[in-house]
Amino acid sequence: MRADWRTVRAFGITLVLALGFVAGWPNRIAKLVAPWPKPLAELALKLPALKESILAPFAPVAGRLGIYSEDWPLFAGTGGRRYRLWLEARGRGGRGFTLLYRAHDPDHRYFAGALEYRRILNIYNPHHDWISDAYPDFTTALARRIFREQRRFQEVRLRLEEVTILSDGRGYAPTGRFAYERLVRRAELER
Amino acid sequence: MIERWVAFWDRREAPHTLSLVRILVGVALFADLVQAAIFDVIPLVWGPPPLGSGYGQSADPAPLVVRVLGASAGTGTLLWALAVVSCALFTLGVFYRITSWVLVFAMVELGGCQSVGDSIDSLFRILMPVLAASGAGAVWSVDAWFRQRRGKPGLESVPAWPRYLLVVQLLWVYISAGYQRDAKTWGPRGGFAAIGNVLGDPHFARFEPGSLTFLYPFTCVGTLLTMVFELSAPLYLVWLWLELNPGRGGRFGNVVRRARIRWIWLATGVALHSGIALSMKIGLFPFGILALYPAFVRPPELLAALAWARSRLEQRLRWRAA
Repeated sequence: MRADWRTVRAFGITLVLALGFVAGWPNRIAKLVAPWPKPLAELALKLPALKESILAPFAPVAGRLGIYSEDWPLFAGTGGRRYRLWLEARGRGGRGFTLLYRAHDPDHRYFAGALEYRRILNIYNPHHDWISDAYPDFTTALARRIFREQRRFQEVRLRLEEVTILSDGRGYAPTGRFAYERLVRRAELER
Repeated sequence: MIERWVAFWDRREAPHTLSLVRILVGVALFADLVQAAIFDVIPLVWGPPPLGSGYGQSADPAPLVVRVLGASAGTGTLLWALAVVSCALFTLGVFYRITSWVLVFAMVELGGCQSVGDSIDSLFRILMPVLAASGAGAVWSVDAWFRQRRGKPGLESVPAWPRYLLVVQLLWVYISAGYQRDAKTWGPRGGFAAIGNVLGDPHFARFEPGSLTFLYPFTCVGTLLTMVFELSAPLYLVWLWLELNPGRGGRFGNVVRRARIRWIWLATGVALHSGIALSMKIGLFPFGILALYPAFVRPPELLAALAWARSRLEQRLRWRAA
C-alpha cells in the first residue's frame, strides 16, 4: 500500500515538473528566434501551439489555482522609452490643471504612498506597448476618491509622460509627449 | 531506475529549513498585504468597478467568494482580511494544515478579483500550495509548542520533496529570466547598461534618477553578474551534487568544493536581490525571493549554522558576565 502511494506521488511530481517545463516555453518566442536560421526559427515557432495543446487538459485545474505560466521574462528589456505618471485635477473655473502627484517630484506627493505601492504601480505602469486592463477602472476609482476628498475639483486627469532613459546612468529626459491619458469628470460619476 | 526515482521523492529530512521558509515568506507577504491597509487602497485594488479597479469581480466566471457574497467593495475587503489573518496564522504555524490552505485560497481569490500583479504574485501562487502540503509547520510554530506542552514527541523529519520543488522552481525562474534577456542592454553590445537604466526609470528608481552617476560602473558589473548568475543557475545542481558526493568529480570536483562555488553562487543571489531591494521600488519581489532562499540550504547545514551562532552568542554572554 505504502509503495503504491510513493509511486503515485513520484508520478504526480514528475507530471508537475514536466508540465511546468512546457509552461515555461517562452511566450515571446517570435522575438527570441528572430536572429536564428530560418528552418530552426520556423520549428521554434510551432512551439506555442504545441504548448497550448499539451497544457489544455490541465488548464482548468491550474486556472483554479491562479497559475497561468512558468515563463519569467523579468526586466527583459530596460532603457529606451519609459513613463512617468502625472496625476492632475482641475476646479470649476476651467483654468489649468493642478499637479497633485508626479513620480519623483518631491513637491507633488498627493497619495504618493499608495501610488508607489507595487499593486497600484503595476496597474498604471505601461509594459512596453500596453497598459493593464485595470487602468481605466483604476482612473475612475481614483478620481472618485479625489472628488470625495477635494470638493473643489471637477476633473481629474491621469497621463503618462514618455521619457527617454539617458546613457551612463544620467537618469531620464522628458520627451514632452504623453500617453494613456484619461480624463474623469465629477459630473459623469454623479450622474 | 524507477525505484530510485520513487525513493528520491520519498526522502525525509529535518523540518527546520521549510519552517524558516514558512516564517520568512509569511512575514514578507504579511507586510505586503498590510501595506494595502496602511496606504488605504484595499477597495481601490480589489473593489469592483466603478468603486475600485478589481475588474475580476465583474468577470464571468467571477471568483468563488464573489459568486457567493456578490461583487462589492466589502467582498474585496473581506478577502483581504481573510488573507491577512490566514497569513499571520500561517507565519506563526497555528493550525498549519488548515490555515496554510486558507491562505492559498485567499491569495487565489484575491488574484481573481485583481489579476494585475507582478511575477512574485504568480510565483507565490505556484509555491504556496507546495508549502501548504509540506511539513513547514512542524517546528518553530505554535502547533509544535502545543504538541510539546501536551507531551507529544516533536516531528523529527518531514518529506523533503516540497523543498526540492522550491529549489527547482527558483532555479527555473532564473533560467527563464536569463535566456529571455534579449535586450542589448543586458550584454556587452549595450554596455551592460540594464541595471543602470532601471535606476533611471522614474517609476522604479528609489533614489532620484541621475543622482548616482558615480555608481554607474558598479551597475554595469551588477548587470554582468546578474547574467552570469542567472544563466549559471542550472549548474547549481552540479555544485550541490559535488558537495554531497565528496569523492566524485575528480580534480574539478575538488576545486568546486574547496572554492565553495555553491555558496558563492548563493551569496551572489543574496547580494543581487539585496541590491534590488535597496535601489529599486518594486515592492515584494526581492524580499519574497530572498524569503525562499533558505530552501537552498540543507537542514543539517542550517542546524549547524544555528548551533554555531548559538555557541558564539553564549560565549559572548559569558565574557560579558565575567
